[in-house]
Amino acid sequence: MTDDDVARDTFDVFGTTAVLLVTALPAISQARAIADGELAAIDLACSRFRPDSELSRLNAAAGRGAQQVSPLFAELLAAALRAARLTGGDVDPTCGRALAGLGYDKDFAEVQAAGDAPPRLTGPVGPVPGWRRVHLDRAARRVRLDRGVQLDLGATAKAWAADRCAGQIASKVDGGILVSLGGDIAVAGDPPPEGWRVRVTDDHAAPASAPGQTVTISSGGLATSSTTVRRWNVGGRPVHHIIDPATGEPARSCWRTVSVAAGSCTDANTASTAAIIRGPAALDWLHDIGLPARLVREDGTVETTAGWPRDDGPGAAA
Amino acid sequence: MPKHDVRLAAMERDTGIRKVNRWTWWASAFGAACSVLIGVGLSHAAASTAASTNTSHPTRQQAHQQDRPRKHRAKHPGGGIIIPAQPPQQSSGGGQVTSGSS
Repeated sequence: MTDDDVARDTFDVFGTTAVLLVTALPAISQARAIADGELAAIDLACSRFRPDSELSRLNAAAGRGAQQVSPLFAELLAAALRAARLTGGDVDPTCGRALAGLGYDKDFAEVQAAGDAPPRLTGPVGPVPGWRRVHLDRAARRVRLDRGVQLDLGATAKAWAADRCAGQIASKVDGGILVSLGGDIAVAGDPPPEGWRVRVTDDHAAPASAPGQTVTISSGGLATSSTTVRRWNVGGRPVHHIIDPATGEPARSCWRTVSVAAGSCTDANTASTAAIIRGPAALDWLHDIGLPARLVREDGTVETTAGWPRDDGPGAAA
Repeated sequence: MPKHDVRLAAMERDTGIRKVNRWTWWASAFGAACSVLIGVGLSHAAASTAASTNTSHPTRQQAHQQDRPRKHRAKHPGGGIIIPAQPPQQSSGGGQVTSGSS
């Protein structure tokens, strides 16, 4: 399928929708094959819901010494720890126990199908163990988790996978490549002359008519984090998937949706997730580090930073 | 006291004062050098502690206090969050893809 001289392939992966666009039309099948291989390997490395994944085996070995991991898992974990370091721990990979405590211990479709679940934990959850309790020797590819640490790489793995796929495809296919994994977007190669057109909104599965803004990007990545999606109920209380490491609870933010453009999709997603967690302080933080971002308040009003185009037209309020 | 004894005493007094002044100057210079070295050492230690992965999870306040060095790194690719080559540009119409949460 093509539009605007771009070949498109859409498929399901990681419990969400992936979109693959290439400007070299005949290369779409080759690009898809490369993406399939990369995504399958990443799923096997870091899925929290597969008992045969490296991450599940590592979580089971917490407190029991260093474990050998694959080069791919070491890269994924290094990316997660880098995100934690760059955000002062606001994006933290040790949220596994907090998410499981909220009932998110299986594929999200099953969580939703289960309906309102009884709370598994009573009383305050408390801070997550923290990324500094994850010890990665990258050269030796050995990882040690302190007792009680349970990893969840969900905050970075999807975006990292988009970067990885775009880079791998670009190394073998001419032209421009866009990879979107559930709205986490990475681009590589030569973009279309006018850039890649991206509709920014709350939900990646929203129809084209949904409130939002259309922008173009030519390099790097663009990611959106939101508290309006991936929600479920626990004990009659609505919860979502963005955990504030300081409390171990779903983040209570003044922003419902944050979109960020950065030099990579991983960095964009790191910043958009951190912005949700930081709340009002995110505006100054994004401005100071020069990251273009679009932040939508609960009431739909929009703030932008660092050159993100203002869109005051109809339908702008996301 | 004989006159030549007075002159001798004055000369010895002046010699003593010069010695004290010289020792005071060297002590001051040594102290200043030590202060610089200690300051440099402490700043390196503080930076190393911030970068260490072997301490407990920082509090929110500590995390936000780390914003200042991050601001500096972010403008240098490789050290922090990488800013895009150019910000997104406004476009009309629909998108080829949608960026939203999933």
